Amino acid sequence: MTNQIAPMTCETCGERMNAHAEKPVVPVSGDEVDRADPVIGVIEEVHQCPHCGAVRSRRV
Amino acid sequence: MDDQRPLFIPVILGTARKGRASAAVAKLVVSQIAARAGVTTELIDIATVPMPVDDAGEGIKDSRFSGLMAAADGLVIVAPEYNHGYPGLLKHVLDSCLKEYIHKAVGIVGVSAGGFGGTRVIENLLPVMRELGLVTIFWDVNVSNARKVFDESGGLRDPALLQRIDKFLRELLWMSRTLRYGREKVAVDQ
Repeated sequence: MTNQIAPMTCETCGERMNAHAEKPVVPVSGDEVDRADPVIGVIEEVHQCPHCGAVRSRRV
Repeated sequence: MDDQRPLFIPVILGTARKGRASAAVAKLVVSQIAARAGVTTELIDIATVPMPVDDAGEGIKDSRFSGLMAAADGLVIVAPEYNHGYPGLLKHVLDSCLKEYIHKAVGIVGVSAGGFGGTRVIENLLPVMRELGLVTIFWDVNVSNARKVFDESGGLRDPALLQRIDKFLRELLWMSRTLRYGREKVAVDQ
């Protein structure tokens, strides 16, 4: 069972964006260092708008 | 997906060195992309991307470069081979973005003054591309003896290069279209 990714909304056109990637990245802030998985680091979710192509991401 | 939106495939000229032979190569690739229907392009000269050298990574993101990478559906990187590696400034510029690259196709054009067509710079760039989230294609363009392939005004002397660029672009555009569909339609949760 996997965690579902919370949707993001396009800031340009208001469309619901498609969550297409979970990229492992190195932690950069103190908060991220504290909660990072020791092997994976933290996850950057990447979303793209199906209407205008805009890209957003969030680190979780 | 808005299928009517043209693909955007910018070309990154990956060196700031004076007298760079890669500039003629990059301009040729731009012209070959621009000649195709349904595709737009732009030459991005890393010499013109304002990058401080007292920091690195996403903390020095340039808004224009970031915007171009976010809008891109695929990338061409034209990279000369310096001491068997890639130009440090190219890596510095590429490292300033991440989410902008994820699940986008990239093709690499290797350029060398000698006879190996930038094969070593291409091989050295592949793991960097992977970590940046880009998806490499299996076609490269290798430009050996770059100063012989182009005349002093940047004119192409070897028309065989056009056929190789055509094969490279056909694959890059297929990957770019397919990955755009995936980014916009196929959720990782599915």
